[in-house]
Amino acid sequence: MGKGWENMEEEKKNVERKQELTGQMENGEERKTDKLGKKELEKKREKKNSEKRKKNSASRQFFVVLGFLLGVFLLSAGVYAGWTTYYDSDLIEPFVCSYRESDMHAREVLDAFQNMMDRMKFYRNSGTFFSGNVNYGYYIKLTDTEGGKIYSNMSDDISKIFDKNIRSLMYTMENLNEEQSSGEDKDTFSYYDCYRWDAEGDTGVIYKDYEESRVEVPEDLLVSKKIDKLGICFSEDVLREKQNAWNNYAVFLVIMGAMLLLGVILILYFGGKLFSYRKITNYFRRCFVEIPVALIILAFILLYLCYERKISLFAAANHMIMLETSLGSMQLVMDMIAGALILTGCFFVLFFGVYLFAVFLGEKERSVVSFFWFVYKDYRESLWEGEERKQFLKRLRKPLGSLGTQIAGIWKLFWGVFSGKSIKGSTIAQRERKRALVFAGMLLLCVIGMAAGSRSLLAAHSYHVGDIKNQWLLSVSFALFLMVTAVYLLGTIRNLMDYAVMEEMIQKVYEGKYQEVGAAKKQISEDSVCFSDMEKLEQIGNGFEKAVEDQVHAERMKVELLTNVSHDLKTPLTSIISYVELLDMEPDLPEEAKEYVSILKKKAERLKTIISEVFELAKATSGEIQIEKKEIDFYRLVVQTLADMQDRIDASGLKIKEKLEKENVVIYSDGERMYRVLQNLMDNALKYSMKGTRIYVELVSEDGVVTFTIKNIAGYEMEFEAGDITERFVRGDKNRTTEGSGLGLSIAQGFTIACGGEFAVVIDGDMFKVRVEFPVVEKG
Amino acid sequence: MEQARILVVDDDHDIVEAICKILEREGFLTACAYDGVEAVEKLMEQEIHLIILDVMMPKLDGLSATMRIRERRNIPIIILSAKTEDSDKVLGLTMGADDYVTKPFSPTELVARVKSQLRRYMSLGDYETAGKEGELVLGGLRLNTDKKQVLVDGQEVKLTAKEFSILEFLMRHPGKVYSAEEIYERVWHEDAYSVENTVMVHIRRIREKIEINPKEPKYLKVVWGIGYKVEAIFY
Repeated sequence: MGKGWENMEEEKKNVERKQELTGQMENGEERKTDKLGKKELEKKREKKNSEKRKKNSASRQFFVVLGFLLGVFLLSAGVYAGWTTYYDSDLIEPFVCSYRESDMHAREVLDAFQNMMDRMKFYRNSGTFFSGNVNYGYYIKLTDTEGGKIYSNMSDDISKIFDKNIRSLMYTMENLNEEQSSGEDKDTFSYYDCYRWDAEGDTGVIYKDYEESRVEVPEDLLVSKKIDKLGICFSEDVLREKQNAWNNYAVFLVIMGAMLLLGVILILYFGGKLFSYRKITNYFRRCFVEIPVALIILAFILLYLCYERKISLFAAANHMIMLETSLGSMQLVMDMIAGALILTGCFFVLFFGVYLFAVFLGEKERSVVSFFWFVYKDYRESLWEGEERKQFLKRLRKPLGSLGTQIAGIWKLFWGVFSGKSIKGSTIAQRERKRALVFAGMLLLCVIGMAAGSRSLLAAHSYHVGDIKNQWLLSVSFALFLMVTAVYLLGTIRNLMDYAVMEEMIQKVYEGKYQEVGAAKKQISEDSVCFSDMEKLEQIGNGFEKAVEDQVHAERMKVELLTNVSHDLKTPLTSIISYVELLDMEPDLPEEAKEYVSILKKKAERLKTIISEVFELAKATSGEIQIEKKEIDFYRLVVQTLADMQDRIDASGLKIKEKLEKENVVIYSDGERMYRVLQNLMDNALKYSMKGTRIYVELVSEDGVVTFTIKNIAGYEMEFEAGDITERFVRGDKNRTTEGSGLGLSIAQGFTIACGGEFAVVIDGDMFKVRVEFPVVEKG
Repeated sequence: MEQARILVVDDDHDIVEAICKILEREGFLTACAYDGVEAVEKLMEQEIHLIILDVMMPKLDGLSATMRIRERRNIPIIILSAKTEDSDKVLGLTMGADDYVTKPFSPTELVARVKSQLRRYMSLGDYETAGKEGELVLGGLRLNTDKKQVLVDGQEVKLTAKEFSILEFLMRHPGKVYSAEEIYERVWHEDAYSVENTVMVHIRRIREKIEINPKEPKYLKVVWGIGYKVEAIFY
């Protein structure tokens, strides 16, 4: 296990030890010894287990690393094989091409022929495709002559060349020729007459051995004459030989592919064991593993295509002998394949390079992990921490000088632009749009480059004169294209990943889990595109958290204050009331003093009422009130209240006019509180009504709502708004001469609302009206 | 009746003094304590017949003290508290207190409650006859169906025939809530029509006679919007 792991385990142990200690401190003596014994046992067991694990993990680690390295080897072998195959196949191509440019100079054609024969010599010598002598023929048609001439290097057995296929082909050609000579389409095609060639066989340049193969063309061909058509023929057995050779090669390709596959499987399997995918927290992170895997798979497909193409080509060649394929476009495909392979190779080199780099740092454990360094960012970062890095950078900086920083700068710019980091823009949409524009621009550039490159390549292949100077343009453009796409995609994935985290944070804020917002943010590095947005989000989360905390705190303070103040007011008031009572009991008090005492008594009582009402109201409005809801009969409640207050009503000299409905008046509410509501309303009416007037009490059930209304004529001028009267301590008469805390209506309103009803005050001239509404509970 | 000694416990000295003075005027002996621990100690030293106990006190609060006292003694305990919620009262009573008085209280009410509790406590002997035929007992409330007599903490209360019938009917089913119609039909033996007011007025009158503080009734309660009941008291 590596340093980090050991540290972690040690830390864990430390924590455990601490917990043990605290546990012991808390527990009594008896438990202590008991626990110690148990702990020792546990420790031993753990030690054993960990040793076992270590041993297991050591051997396992060895196999895993071995398997991984094998996978790497196989993969590299496969890639190398693919690489060489590609180039080999490239060498075969000139055999099966033909030329049909009308304005080609004969000299160039001959050069191409010479080049071709050199290649054939190479193959003969290397023994790859051919053995022994290869017979071939060629023909050249000049634009300004009637017919072409066919030349061959076949000497001994000239009849060999006149096998069935060639004959038939040449026959076709002759027919064509005849057709054309008859006057139609004279400009397009004109073929050499093979019979003529046959008849004047000695006029062709015939070589006994292509060791001396040289294309000799009569002087008249070389001077001023333009070649219209040019072809090469092989005898069938030569092609068959080539086919067989290729078939062998195909077996090699299959083996190579299997190696590649096995390599990938091994890397993925053991890699997964080593790099612990559990560290990969979400699917987006996994992309970093899956992209290279996809690239490797792509390489496979391309290799297969490579194989497929060659096979079909030769299959075709077997029957046609003479081929007129437009190799230019195929060449383009092949170049793309090559580019992909190059990229795969680059990735591979990158992996391996990082691995070696890590080994160089002595971080063997992490080095393996760093092989997939982009798999888990934290590891990548930890890899770059510490003294080793500094030393390494020092060592690196000396020889490389500013070059490294230059390259790093360019890369940073490149990455920054494509990942959107160095793009300015206030919103994500703006940044993404700009990024997409830059990407599109780069793509356009690449496409132009590729088009230019492929054009020159096409031309070069068509002439086949070996002058393919601009091939690098195609390769570079294509490589750039792949790189731009890859970086853009990586940037997109990275951004999407960060957006996913941001979404997670938003969700956390939404759910009210403010503490987890910061934790989610830690998944993202500071150079992320949406880091500033996340910071804002985190601040919002923190703000919310603080607000909620403050609110809870304030709420608690309020309730506490209420309880404390309540107690603090009630205690001295108890003393006041008690001593006033004692004073009142005093028999020898002068008459005046007795009067004072009675006033004191009255005021103390009033103070008592006010205090208890203030707290009741405060509780009702702060939601601290305990409500016990039941199904109650509003009619009964009204009658009970009126009966309960009967003597006060009688004493007031006012008359009550009742109009109460009995049906459908069951409501869901707290009877005790609602009694207080009605009592307060009645009190209010009794207290402030004009002498000799009537108080109207109504209960109406309509459309599922029970409405209780109490109306009275005020005994004074009401100079206030309807809404004000329920405000605390507001009383109708401004000079406050009447008894009462001024809280009656406020309490009634507070209780009604707390019980789930509605409360309204209406003032119409001298009429004062209060309406209390509750929804009816449907029976059954 | 020998002179009863009452222990007054509150952390506010003035309140303790006032209560003691008022009680002494009524002819009781008093003892003082200023926290729960002291109260328990005093209880050990002297013979105490009743305790008035504040809830919020240092060292040992009133409720815990009540529980401790109940472990040893069966004397009446009246709790004083600034907390007025019903739940607080219920808590106090279930802890073993016999009565619950909220601050600020009127001294006369307190004296009435003290007397009531003492009557019950001192005349405990009578309670051995409790539950005998023709007698309904609920806390300090005794109703003799034969003699048509109602005793509240040993003191006779005069009730009218209808009042007596209502109380008897409700006391036969303590804790059960009856509507005005049900009570009317049972007591008046007539069809009930618009009787809410009649019944309520009777109830109010009974309450005024049997309750110490009719506004905070102990026995006969109005279940607002539903009906009436006699509280099931088993202490």
